[in-house]
Amino acid sequence: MCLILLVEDHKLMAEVLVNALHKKGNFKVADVAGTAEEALVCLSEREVDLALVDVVLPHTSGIDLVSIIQERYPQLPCLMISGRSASDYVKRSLDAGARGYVLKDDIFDVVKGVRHVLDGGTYLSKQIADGKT
Amino acid sequence: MPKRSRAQEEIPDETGELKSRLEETEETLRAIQEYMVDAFVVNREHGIQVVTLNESEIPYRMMVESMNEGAVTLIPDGTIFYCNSRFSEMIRIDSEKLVSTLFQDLIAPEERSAFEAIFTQPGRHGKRGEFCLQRSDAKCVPVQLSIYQLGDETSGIAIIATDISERVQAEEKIRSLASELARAEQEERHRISQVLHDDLQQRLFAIKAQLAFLKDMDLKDKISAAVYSEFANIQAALSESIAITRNLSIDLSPIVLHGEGLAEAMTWLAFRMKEQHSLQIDLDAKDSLDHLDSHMRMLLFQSIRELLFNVVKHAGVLQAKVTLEQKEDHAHITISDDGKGFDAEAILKDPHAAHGLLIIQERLNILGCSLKMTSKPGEGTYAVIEVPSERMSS
Repeated sequence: MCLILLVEDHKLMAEVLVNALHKKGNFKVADVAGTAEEALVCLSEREVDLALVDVVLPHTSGIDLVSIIQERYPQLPCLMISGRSASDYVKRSLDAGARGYVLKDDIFDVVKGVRHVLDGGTYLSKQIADGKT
Repeated sequence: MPKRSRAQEEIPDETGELKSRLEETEETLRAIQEYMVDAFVVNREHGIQVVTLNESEIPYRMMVESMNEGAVTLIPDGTIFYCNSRFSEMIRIDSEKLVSTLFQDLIAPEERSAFEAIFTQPGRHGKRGEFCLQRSDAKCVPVQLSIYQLGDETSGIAIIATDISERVQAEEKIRSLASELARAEQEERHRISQVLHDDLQQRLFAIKAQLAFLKDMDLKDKISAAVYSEFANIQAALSESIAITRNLSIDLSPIVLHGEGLAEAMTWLAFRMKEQHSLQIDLDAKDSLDHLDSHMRMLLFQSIRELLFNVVKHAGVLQAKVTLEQKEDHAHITISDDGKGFDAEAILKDPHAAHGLLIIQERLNILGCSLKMTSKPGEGTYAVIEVPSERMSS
């Protein structure tokens, strides 16, 4: 079973994502971190197969966290998750090294994106790929 | 050599004579100032003339001497030949020293050309302007000067100077309070925007996800068809709610305004106006205006956005032009369209009809900026916002 680090500061949303990843994707969320700093502690303590990172986090942003992860753990794929679809966020995320960007609007699409990235691919939610940002 | 000796001999005599004439003049002047003179004799081209000071003039002199405004009379080239004691106090220079100096030299150098413009043609009904007078200690006294022609052009000029220091200080205070208010408003907008995004929107995402799980479960046999069919409606309503909170969150505090220049914010706004209102904006940013502080940038952003909303609502066209330019001493921003236009002169006088525009104008004015609107029915609308350099950071 693939292990995922979920970085999401909203508790209810984190619960829903853990549930969806487990029930709809058969993935295990190894840890839930509420901040970038907590995420880095988790990564220093255990290995995971993917980091699913919210773009907007308190203090250090999700995009900055991905840059740090890519420096320290270049093999670890990161997928961004956000409620914001602005092209600027998407571009900055991909520039930071994220393998994809999914929107919270569609929970099944989030699971689909995680699967694609774990399989070695890249993934953008349809709305972003279609340029409707 | 003998000539030089004679000249040397004459110097002490001439000096003595000049000294004596100066003392006599000073005594005369003092006598006039202390109302001890009823008349004096003037030797003019056409002969001797006696100028009398009627008793009726004495009350006027007393009034001028005791009034709270500075009063100065000048000959046409600007040389002072009389000033009252209030004027002397105002600029902290003795009236005796002021007599025979040029009034123009008392005006702050950067304002002299503006002063000259009204001083040279004051007219019988007078002209007014606000200037800074330089005090003896080099500090500035803000005054309103009312300049009047006395008689014809060869006659003298009278200037009444009203100290407006208190008003200027009050305006500064209002400006500072308005700036604080704008700052507080912006912080509150940012806070509400964060609550909308960080909490409410996340809850809506979570509810939508949970609903999607329910819909995905095989519930057709367990719940009525009517309830099951409502799932799609609820999901659609949730999507709409998410879109509303997302737009509100972005509009309240556009992330692009945090630490970016105004030109970049305008690029974002152009994109957003196109996306939301189909308004095509031709953005001509000659300068990025990135030296504006965040509060001024927010105020300008909101003002431009309101003016563009007006294009959407009233102009009847879906195209507008925005230009940004840094001129010598101010930022110059224009917002224009070729739409229906309106009677700007009439509408701007009507607080009900021009409510939104007047609010923008007032907010800009309070922070030392200006908004001028030019429009006529059928001729489009042209708005100009100017931000003086000293106001670019509050």
